[in-house]
Amino acid sequence: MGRRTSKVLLQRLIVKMLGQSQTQFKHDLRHAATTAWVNVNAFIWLLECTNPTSMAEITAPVRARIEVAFTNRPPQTVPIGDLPFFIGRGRESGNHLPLDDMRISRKCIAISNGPSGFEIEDRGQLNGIFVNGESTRSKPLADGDRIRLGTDDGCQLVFRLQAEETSPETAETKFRSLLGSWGTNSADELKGLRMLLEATQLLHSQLPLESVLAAMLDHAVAITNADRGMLLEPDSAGALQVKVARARGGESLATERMNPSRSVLNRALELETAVINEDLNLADLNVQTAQSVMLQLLRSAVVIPLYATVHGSGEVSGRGPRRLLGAVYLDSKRTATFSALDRQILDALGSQAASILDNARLVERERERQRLEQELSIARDIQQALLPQGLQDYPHLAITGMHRPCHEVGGDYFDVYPISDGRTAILIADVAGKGLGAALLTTMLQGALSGMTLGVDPVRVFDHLNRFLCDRASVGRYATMFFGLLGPDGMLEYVRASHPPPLLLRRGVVSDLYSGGSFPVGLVEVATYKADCIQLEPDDTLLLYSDGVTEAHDKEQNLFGDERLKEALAPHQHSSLDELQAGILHAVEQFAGGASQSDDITILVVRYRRPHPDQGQAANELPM
Amino acid sequence: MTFSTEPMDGEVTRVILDGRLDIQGAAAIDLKMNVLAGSSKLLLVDMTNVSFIGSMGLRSLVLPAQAVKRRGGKMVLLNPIPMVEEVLKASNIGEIIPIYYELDAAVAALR
Repeated sequence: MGRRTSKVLLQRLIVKMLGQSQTQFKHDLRHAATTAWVNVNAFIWLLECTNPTSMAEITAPVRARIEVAFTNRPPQTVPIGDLPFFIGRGRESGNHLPLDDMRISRKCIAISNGPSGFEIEDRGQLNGIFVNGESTRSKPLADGDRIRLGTDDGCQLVFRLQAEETSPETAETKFRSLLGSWGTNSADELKGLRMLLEATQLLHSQLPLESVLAAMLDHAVAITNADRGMLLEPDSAGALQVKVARARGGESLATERMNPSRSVLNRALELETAVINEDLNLADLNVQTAQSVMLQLLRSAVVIPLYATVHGSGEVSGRGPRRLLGAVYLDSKRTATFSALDRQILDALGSQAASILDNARLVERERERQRLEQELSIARDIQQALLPQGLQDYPHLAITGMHRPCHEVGGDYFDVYPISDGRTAILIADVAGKGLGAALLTTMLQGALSGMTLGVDPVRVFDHLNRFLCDRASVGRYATMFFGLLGPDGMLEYVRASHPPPLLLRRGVVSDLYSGGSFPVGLVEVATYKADCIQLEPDDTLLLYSDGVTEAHDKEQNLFGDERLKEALAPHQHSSLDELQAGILHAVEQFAGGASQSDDITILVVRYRRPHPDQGQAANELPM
Repeated sequence: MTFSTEPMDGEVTRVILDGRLDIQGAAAIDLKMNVLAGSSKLLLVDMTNVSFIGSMGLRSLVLPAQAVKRRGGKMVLLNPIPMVEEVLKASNIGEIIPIYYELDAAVAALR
């Protein structure tokens, strides 16, 4: 059904509602709800937003569910029924959603109904709960919130919220009660309602929000009989600027040519109420404004300041300063245009315009947030996809690794790839800073370094990268790196750039691969790099890590530190690499005790192994 | 992170840093350090009260040191705590910006 038709239908509906039989109304509403494109839910939502008195009584019905994802089991989705909704291990503790996993406490979390919707509460989960990575005791939940139980990654919950399709009966009830609170059949209210109706339609279409605001102004002009209307919003310095300007009849005016009377505006802001000025007093105005007023022969003006509606228990907290959203400025060339205006109408107009402006800006911010989130999630996907996929072992080495960014995208990365001379490149890098900026640089480093697959001296590559970044100092980032080339004969050639020394586990003893300093890449123009060599023995294990591991901290801000890392590594001479990696991660998490971490955690484990006897020369040279 | 300066004899400017030189700390002093590096040739950065230095903090010291050097001046660091010194040495920054533990020695090195 076309928009035009549905609009007419809804308008007819409202006119009818003000004086028709219940059955007829019900029928019409059903018809509208089921056949028109208009989403009755959304329509009611807007009415509620613009009519705050009804908000307390009516809350939109919502359906919530929990998605459960274990790393090693198929995901399941469970609707949230009775509130409070308990989640924990086993059914004995009255859990609505029992999770069969030893890491989850019997009384884990409760989801209940709070003042602002669903709320999560920690009921005693070991090591606490985390919502979107942040440790929390209790917190309102929003759609898509990721809940982690304890410090372990074994199980993740995702909270999903969905407005329920309102059945025509409940829609009718709400609609009628809303109308009841709007008063009786008066022409002005009908106008207001119709204005809202059009605004709703506009909001739900893909039209730019500016046209919603323009439509709102057109209505304000029509209701007050003004010649022009302007919507002003505060700029970053708080000064009101004209954002939209419309002439009577729905014509757009150039905002930069508008010159609203600042003295009338200021008076309205001072009094925090609508101000009517029947005869603009030129003495009040500065020369420039006065000229414009005279040129345009503007004689009367109305200013309605727009304030945000205070939600929640506003009466208890008392009257704080109200948040100014902007102002509607209406003027006319005729004197006494506005003298007949009822103050109630101005107030109603003000509150409606404020709600529409507030909603429009909310929608705008939400759209912007969604767009940014989507872009970040694309960045994250690309970054994860650039990590070596399914680390495969090479004949002369076994390898495993992991990268856990503390934000959506991270500043660490690692890579493993074969070089044309038969050796294997192993590298880890940590870009200074966090988030998207650092992530961009990791991608560039990876590109530059992967070029070495074709065989280039790593020292020259480091020199080049350093110059490249120093020449572009405004990039404002640099990196620490470790780059190693491990041959089938166990010879490890490496270049370092201020990266923490990898730990070498040899026959149960842990040592640093090197000591002393080296320049990072991209910080100091005069930096130079050199290659060093070390002969690895079969079963020697190297642990490469980023400082997010040793700088992981507990709730008292104590650092995990080098010594604890060495202690955690020492017992793993004979463990598989996956066990070793899990052991290190476990030690770090146990230490952190659920404190949220501020840096990426990256680990790469490499074990040199005796090449198989049939793999040629290198093997023959080894003592049997 | 707080930042203050005091002029010393011989056109030396003493910069006193106080707090954590992490991402926020670095952001707080970057501009001031740059301005100073553009106007003063001899900088003595007092690190006594810097309790932490991160990678971005390191950059906040290296950039002004290089800028001063290009203009024929010099920058030295005074009295970092062991944790901070360790970070400075791991990144070879000690080679670019000398570290001193006595005020007199630091001032003498600048003159």
